[in-house]
Amino acid sequence: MSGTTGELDATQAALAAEHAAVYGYGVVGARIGEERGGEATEAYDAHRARRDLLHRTVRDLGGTPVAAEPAYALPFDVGDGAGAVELAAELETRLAGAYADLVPVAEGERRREAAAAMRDAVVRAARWRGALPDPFPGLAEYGSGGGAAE
Amino acid sequence: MREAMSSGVPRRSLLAGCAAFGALAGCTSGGGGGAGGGEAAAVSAQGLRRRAARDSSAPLARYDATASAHPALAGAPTAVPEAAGPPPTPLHVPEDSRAAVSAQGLRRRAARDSSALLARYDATASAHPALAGTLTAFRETVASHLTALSESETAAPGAVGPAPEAPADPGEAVSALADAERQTADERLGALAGAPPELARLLASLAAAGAAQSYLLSEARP
Repeated sequence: MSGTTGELDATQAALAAEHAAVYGYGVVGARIGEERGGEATEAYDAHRARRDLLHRTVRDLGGTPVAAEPAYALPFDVGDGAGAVELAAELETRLAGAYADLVPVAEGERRREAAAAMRDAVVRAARWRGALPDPFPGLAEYGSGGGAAE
Repeated sequence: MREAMSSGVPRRSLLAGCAAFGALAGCTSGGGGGAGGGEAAAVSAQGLRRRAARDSSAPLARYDATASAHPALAGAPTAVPEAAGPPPTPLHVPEDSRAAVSAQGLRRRAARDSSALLARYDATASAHPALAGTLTAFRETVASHLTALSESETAAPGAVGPAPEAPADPGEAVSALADAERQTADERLGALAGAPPELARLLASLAAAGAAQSYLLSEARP
């Protein structure tokens, strides 16, 4: 089943965001401390799985999957455990935005997967932060800057 | 490419333009069904079809009357089916009109679900004033969802009926809210596959928010 150019582009963007999340959770895991270390590992594993799924999806759509960068610039200086938690929440928030862009241009099973991945990202962000700061996660036009990074 | 929703210019104004030209012109839009133009297009397509069906039955009756009056002609081969036979093939109702009507229904149902959730929060806060402070932020999120689903609708979400009574135990009351949020979110995830793109995107965001609210409520359970 072939998708549109829009779907391929949005899928690549989600894959790129998952690459960044996998890298970022490496940093999170290193700094977060014991209490929440298990959550970080679980998230890291989940994002690798999502990355692998998107990699296959891009190929199914006829594209060449975007590669991970060797390193990513972190959005802020992470420092200690609190910074690691904030980084984790930020990674999930950006992923939610990327999946929000994919949902409208995908159909059928691929749309369902994108929506489920978006839900997982938002739930994880809420777990990290202890709150849901944005009533419309992933939708930049509703304010609060939940959209994917440009 | 994500398109920003500019305030004051609802997507449905595109469909309103199409309805003016007649639904059979096959107006294509980027989706975003809803009230206004979409509904007008769907109703006018339906009306055109019904009229066309009525129009076909008149010539059929005329054929029968003519054959009765002139039996010599009755045996002439004809491809016209008997008047009592199957109805004429309905005119094709444009896919977009059907899709617009069903998207409208989906949006309205989502608004009703948010309205029901809101009523549940209010009933819970009434029954358990000590919880009201904790529940405020959750309730406000649901209220903003309802507003987003209701905007550009010509009709209000509609009466939901009396709110379910909150359980007497505060912990169970919060669990009931968490369950309701999760169920609503799950339904939206299931429904969005069939929605037009922008509505699907909105439902995905609401479902994600609802799933997060469910999780947080469970954590906040007294």
